[in-house]
Amino acid sequence: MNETSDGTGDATWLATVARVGRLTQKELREILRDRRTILTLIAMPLLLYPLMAVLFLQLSFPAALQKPVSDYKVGMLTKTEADVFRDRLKQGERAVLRKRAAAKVDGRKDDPPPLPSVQPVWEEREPKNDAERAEAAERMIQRLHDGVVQVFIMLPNVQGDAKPDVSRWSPCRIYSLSNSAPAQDAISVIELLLTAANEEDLKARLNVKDLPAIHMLSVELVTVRVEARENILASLVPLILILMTITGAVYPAIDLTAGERERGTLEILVAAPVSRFELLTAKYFSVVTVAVLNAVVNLVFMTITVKWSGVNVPGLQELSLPLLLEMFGLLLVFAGFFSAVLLCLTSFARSFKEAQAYLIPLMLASLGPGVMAMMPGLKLTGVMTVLPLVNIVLMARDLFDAGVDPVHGTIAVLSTGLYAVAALALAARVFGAESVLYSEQSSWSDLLRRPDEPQSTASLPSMLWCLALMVPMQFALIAFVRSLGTLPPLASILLNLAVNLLLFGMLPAIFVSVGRVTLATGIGTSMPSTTALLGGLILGASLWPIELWLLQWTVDAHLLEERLGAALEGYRTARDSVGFLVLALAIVPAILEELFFRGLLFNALKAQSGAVITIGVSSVLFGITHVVLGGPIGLERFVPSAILGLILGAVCWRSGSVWPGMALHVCHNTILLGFAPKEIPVAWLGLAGPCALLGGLIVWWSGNGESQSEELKQ
Amino acid sequence: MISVHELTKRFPLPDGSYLLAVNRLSFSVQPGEVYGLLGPNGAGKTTTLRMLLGLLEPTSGQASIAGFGSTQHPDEVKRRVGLVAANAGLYPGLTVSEMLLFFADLYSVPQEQAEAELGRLSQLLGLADILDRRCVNLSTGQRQRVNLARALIHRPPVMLLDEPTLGLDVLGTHVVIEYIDHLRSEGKAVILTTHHLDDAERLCTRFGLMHQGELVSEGTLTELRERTGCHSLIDMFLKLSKVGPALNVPCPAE
Repeated sequence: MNETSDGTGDATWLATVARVGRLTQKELREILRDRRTILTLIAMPLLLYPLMAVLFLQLSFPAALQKPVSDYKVGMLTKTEADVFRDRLKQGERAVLRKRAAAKVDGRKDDPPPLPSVQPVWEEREPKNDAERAEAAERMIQRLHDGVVQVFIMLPNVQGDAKPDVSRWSPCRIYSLSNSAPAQDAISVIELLLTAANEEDLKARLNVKDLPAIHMLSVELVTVRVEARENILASLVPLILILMTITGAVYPAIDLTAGERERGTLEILVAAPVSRFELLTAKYFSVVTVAVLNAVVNLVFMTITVKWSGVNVPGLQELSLPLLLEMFGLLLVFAGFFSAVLLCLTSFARSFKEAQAYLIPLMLASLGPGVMAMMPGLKLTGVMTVLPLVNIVLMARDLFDAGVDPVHGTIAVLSTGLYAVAALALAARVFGAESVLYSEQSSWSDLLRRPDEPQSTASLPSMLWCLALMVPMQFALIAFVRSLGTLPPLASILLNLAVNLLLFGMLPAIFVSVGRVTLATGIGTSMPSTTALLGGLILGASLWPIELWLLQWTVDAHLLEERLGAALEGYRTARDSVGFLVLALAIVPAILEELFFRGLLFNALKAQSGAVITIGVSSVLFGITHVVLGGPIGLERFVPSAILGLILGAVCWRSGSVWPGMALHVCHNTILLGFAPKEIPVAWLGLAGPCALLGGLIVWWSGNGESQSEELKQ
Repeated sequence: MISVHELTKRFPLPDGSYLLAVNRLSFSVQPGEVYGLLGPNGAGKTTTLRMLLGLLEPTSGQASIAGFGSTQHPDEVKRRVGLVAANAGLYPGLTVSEMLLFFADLYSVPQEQAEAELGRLSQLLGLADILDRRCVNLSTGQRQRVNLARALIHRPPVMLLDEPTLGLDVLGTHVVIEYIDHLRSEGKAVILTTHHLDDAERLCTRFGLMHQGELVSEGTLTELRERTGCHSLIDMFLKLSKVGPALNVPCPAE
């Protein structure tokens, strides 16, 4: 990457993209000509899914092989309700049969199949009051799970200990297990019969004068879906899809790294004037492409098997196009992540065999989270959203089942993306390194050796790893803090600060120490001009109303009040309790974040690339971190945080120092959390714009960062 | 064209000590010269070539090609060098022409020029019949010729040939040796490491004899004969293995 900050970088990047495209094309051509790839791609799914279908049918769902269910059981709370319901169904049945008979006389239809029987069953101990009815309803839902009844119908208009007014029992609530095919069939039959009964009543009412209105039994069914308890077989399907995606990526990952080394093509490849970054990126895209191709082939074979084999797996009957597309998207994310991990590991290997030895533990380790994700009761929340692999398997399971919560889903996807970038960064460092290339002369542990000489900036891979480690650590620490229960405000604030210090202070400090990074250049602590500091302060004082407005503009007002309102209120309450010590929560994270994002990470990027890449990448990572570690407001923080990151990055680049950005960030957080009113007056917003512009101009005018950028590259 | 000055490489060993692979090596090669870098196994020849090409970072010293430092401007150096290594492989799934054009692209050779060069090299190295054959189906001799063509596809002014005839039969060796001779006539600066000393005697204009990472003696064959008192390179080699740096002391008259 020889991008410069004078604008020639764009042309270089275009050329790089074009070349990576051609390199990827060559890699894919070679991989797809290999018999082993084709075997994994086509033969395995071709054998696996029909075999699975047979197993499902033979072992797990013998009912599917039998005739369709002809006797549906409907749960009801009392015998009275059940009797009325039975009469009603019989009336409907008679009406349907009459209609069929009439149709036959007219010669309009062939013989329809016989109507299945629908038998109500009821609680033996009749509930006497609301509490008992609720308990009885719980027991009946349990019977749904046990498969004793297919549906459970509850009459909502029962008050206190009164008996249900069965003459006015509309609408009914009908409970069924989500994704249960027999339940859907039973509902269809019940709807058919009750509709026929209703129609007959309507006709009777139209024909008979003076019929009392009370006998008009218009039945309306309100379906309530009871979430099916985790079915191991249903959870197995997404896990298999994920494992097949892994299988698809393994061979190309080994072949394109350790295979190159073994064949003796790696040396001639790195002897060409192409950066290792370009070579690895092409290999990464190739592995991802093959993995995704594998995922697509598996999805297609699975869909065909499910649609045509008659297999009756809960969750798979409704394989709609949107669901398949969502699943494809998820597998794409997963393929991106796992390919990066595979390349990272196989880049260490000097031979095919060595790479296989590295990957066997990884594959076994991957099964652990996969199987764990099948455990009943495990939800895609909290730390589960950031646990690699577990989050994707849980997400896949939820996609097939009740759907994915958007916030948790986004956190899972973003954290997975972050891990992928970190793995890829390490792979880029290892791939073609002399320790791997010339194993006879040096060991790969040399890669982890502390540098002999002090380094002016941290390495980009180390900073990305630091960031990737922050994510699960943060979730673990928050879980620990929550386990302590409700704490006094002061203790809560101190714990919060400790978590911040640990994540953004201690963790980067370890990386700095191991990498022998010189703090002055690594963080960029050179003293800026007074005007740059002044510009930073003006920006900090004027940006917060704009940020709040932006938040209001991008986020639904109700949601904003619900989430941000509660957070700000929490700060106000804490302020009342512990005074302005609460501002430590605004100031300390701001300082630590600046030291990391505009210090270590920024300078690691700056040492390798120009302004656009450095500021752009650091601000996107800043935004993602605020989403993943967002606390009360997650997704909605991305746009404002990324924009703030852009401004802070520009200030840091222009001033060549971390201090003006830090002044900006501290000032911004202090006002936002300590003094900002609930409602922002329009005049403030009007004033904030010109002030922010003025601050920006002052920073721009005082800038000397360009020359420092060149020094860093030297 | 090629300049090596005080080049040193130390490899760290697991016990904390270091292996001195190349020690303060200095020599230069001009265009039209074939420089024979000779020495027993483990003398540091391959390590030297790798440092020249920027594949290994020197512990100290400088290596440069056409004025570009290997450490400071590795891409400029790589652009000017063609490397043929004994253990270099081919992509089994690609055809010979796909492989050669792929490398031409890596060296940013325009497509038309690459195709013209492919035609020229296939004639010179006898590859015309196997251009559409997958590399996995080639014989050892054919592979080495493809490797030579791959190193030349971007018309580099400098060639680094690390035991290019290793494992080849007499006929294969002959083709490669003939081509190296042709490279000299084209004015390329060539460094050749080989254990085929008779071929080296015929091809090389100057020699550098290495022993345990150090350049023990350097000069034309006549100069080496005078300095060592040995008539042939084989004798010099045998003496080198016995007396090491004392090679330059002439043998007692036989």
